Amino acid sequence: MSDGRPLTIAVCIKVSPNTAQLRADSRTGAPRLDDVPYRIGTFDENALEEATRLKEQHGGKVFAISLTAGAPPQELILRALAMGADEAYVIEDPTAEHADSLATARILSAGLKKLEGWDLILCGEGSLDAYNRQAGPRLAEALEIPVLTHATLVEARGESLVVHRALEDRTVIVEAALPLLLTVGQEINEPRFPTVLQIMGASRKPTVKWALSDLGFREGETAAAMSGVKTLEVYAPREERRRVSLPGDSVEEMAAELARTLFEQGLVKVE
Amino acid sequence: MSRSGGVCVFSERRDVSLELLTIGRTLAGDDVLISIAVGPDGEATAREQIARGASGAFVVEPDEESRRSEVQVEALRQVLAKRGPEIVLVGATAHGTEIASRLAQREEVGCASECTKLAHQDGKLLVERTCLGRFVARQVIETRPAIATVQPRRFEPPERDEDRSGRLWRLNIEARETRTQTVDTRHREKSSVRIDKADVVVGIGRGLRSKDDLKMIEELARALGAVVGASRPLTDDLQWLPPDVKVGLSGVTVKPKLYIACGISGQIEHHVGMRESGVVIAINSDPSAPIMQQADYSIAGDLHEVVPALIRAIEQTAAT
Ligand SMILES: Cc1cc2nc3c(=O)[nH]c(=O)nc-3n(C[C@H](O)[C@H](O)[C@H](O)COP(=O)(O)OP(=O)(O)OC[C@H]3O[C@@H](n4cnc5c(N)ncnc54)[C@H](O)[C@@H]3O)c2cc1C
Ligand SMILES: Nc1ncnc2c1ncn2[C@@H]1O[C@H](COP(=O)(O)O)[C@@H](O)[C@H]1O
Repeated sequence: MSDGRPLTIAVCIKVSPNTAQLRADSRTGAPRLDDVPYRIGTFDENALEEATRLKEQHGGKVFAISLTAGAPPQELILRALAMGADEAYVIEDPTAEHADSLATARILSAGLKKLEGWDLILCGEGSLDAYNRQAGPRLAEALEIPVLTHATLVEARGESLVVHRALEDRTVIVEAALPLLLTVGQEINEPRFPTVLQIMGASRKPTVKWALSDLGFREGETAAAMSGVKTLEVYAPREERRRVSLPGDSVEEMAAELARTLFEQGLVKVE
Repeated sequence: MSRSGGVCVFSERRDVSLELLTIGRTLAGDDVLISIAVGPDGEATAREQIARGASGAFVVEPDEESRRSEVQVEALRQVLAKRGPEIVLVGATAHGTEIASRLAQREEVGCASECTKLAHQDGKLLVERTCLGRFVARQVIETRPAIATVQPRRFEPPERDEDRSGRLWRLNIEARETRTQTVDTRHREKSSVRIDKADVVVGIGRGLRSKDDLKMIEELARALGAVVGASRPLTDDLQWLPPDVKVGLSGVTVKPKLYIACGISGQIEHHVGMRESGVVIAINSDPSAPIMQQADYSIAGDLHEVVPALIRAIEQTAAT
């Protein structure tokens, strides 16, 4: 049994184009952002799930917070609420699509300071669309709290958390005092699918909308203007594949055909 | 030590710090190229960096403390204050990315992650990186310094030259207390081979039924002279293979002449790590798996049957 106390957890969720379904314009090679469904980032869903799991275990509250370019699909905010968040805070800025990690961390930290009272902040290891892996550590720095990236297991123990982390060359177990920021990937849990009932219940939960001016930013201090990295161009690299499904009535025949192809093309050499 | 400009490189891993010197020198031109050395052999690392082209190196002391993130962020801040480099390059390991992000936030500057190409444009740093799944973004960093993390293995380390000389400085860091304490560390096994250098890679995914099936895969790899790579679930979740053979967005980019994907679905995050391969083969029981569209040749079938049959077929074809 663990002896954690109730925790107030803020989860940073980014609404992003579903990259698996994003097509390139056949003429320019640019992404067709006008023609793609949006979703909550894969790892942000893991973060939400982990927050909900901790709440179910120890009690407490879960806030979802998101910086979006206005009018985020309402069903995605509802989804976050249905997955377990108790309240959603949506920071709207029309230039949010151009936010780099510097601007994102400045804006989210302003939101989190206004929100107050959290013990733990959860972020994805990286966002689905940008995968900068920066916002978590930057946010921790801006809020002057410790950060542990790549958490794979979290246990609450009173005023501290025991966190398992997976790095490239080692796994470590760390004990950390609260408040704390963690980043998580797909290894930490399996996010739940909200039920219809939970989705209906979600619409009764509060969603608070903030403009940048509500967070103390001055006119002209938009996400785009505060960004240090500017994107000039986005393109799909060319990739051509033959896409031949190898013929054969049996596994043996197909394997023989493949072996022949590999030898013919000089991809396998006879010793 | 008052002149400003040039490039500063940092990685907690010695091998990666040497790779950074290559692109660091390209960007610095005739200007200074400064490196920062941490770890138990900080001084030896600094001398190695100088032999590989650093104009000067900072050794972070005390050694035992120099592995801590807080110490490294503080060390980098002090080097920035002393040297005022135009560009800071950091190795894009998980740890390095954290360091670069925290440094960039403290300095309130932009940082581009995991860059694959870097160049000057109109006095600014221009980079390319993967984004939005399979796309590539060209970005410019407008702040000074411009911070960029560089994908490990993108660049070869420069040649070693014993005759090169450079200044060596010591940096004694007294970092804040941390409120985190490591209670246990378990080192993970490392791959004995560099998967990014292999001519043939057999990539395996969750289609593999059990860890025992690795034997069959290794046999196929032997027959092909290949190295085994894997999808993220196998390296990070199941941990059947070391993390340094993970192919994809959060792992390594491979460019072999031949990539054989066995039981891999071909999600975009895996695809971007193998799309630069010469010929791609897919073996998957699901003919509609995305990997089939990413392959030159595919076999729709159970890999547990196809792989043994392929090993036999290769042996037979080799014999004739
Ligand atoms: C930001 C981000 C970063 C990521 N980074 C990476 C990364 O670097 N590398 C990476 O790999 N993934 C990465 N992922 C995860 C990625 O999205 C996929 O989850 C992962 O690649 C899936 O691995 P898989 O193909 O092994 O498993 P699955 O998607 O489960 O696919 C298994 C496949 O095996 C096939 N199969 C099942 N049984 C058999 C059989 N008997 N014979 C033949 N075929 C069979 C199935 O048809 C299926 O296509 C990342 C995800 C995110 C969001
Ligand atoms: N616009 C945003 N709104 C809310 N959270 C964000 C936003 N951008 C990034 N994050 C969080 O920071 C994590 C890392 O993002 P990134 O640095 O872009 O890879 C994401 O997984 C989210 O948890």
